Amino acid sequence: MDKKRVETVTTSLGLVLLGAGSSFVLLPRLVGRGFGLTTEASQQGGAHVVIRALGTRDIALGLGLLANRKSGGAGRLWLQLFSLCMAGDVAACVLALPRPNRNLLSVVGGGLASTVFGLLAWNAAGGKKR
Amino acid sequence: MADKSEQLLDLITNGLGLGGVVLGATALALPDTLDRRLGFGLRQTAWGSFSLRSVGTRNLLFGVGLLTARAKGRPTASGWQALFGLALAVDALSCVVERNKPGANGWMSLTAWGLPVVSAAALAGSAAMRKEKAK
Repeated sequence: MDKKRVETVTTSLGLVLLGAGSSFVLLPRLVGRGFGLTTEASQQGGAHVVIRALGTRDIALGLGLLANRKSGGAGRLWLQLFSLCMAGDVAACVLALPRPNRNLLSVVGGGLASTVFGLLAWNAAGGKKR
Repeated sequence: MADKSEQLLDLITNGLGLGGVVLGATALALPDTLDRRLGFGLRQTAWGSFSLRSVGTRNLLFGVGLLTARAKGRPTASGWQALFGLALAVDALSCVVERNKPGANGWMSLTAWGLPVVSAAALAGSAAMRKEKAK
């Protein structure tokens, strides 16, 4: 992957994370319902805290990727750890499959999206090494 | 005096990094136990286990990133620390907003009071690192 493409991939991943994270922070109830939480559970304060915590960390990750998109070593560390984080999300999706109240579309969709994002970030991190 | 402030900066950075790793690993390995103990009300659902494990991986990421960047020199770690500190500040705000909603327990109030201290330490440490870099 050449330098320009690495920068484009990093910027795109950063923007996607900012968008997803913002929606998690601003609309925790809607996000909870969309991912299969029951109406009662999606109104619990604790559920909102967890959804917002996920959102703020995605925003922080997005900002980190964007801020370091042009730097070599520091940017590579962000990309490598982001791809490992996506691997963790894929594992979390697989482990969530046998549980009750799952929304198959969101679990499978989330797993696939995490796989694609993780592979893109890993390739971009390799491109930064060169 | 300079030595003491250096030690304090190291303590904050290492504490945050290790805290992120321990909390992250716990959420990854034991999401149901964490849910029960902290009263998130997710009740072993698919989304509950996924969201807690995802927050765990991100905490782990920030912990490992902070410790790795710290090992490479303080200026690189300041970005990680500032962003982790901001995330914790929003967590605290979220706990304040939700503490009177159904299902909230004493842990949430404790977090609402405790996290701003950790977050402020992280942000102040990050600012000190950037100042050091600018010198």
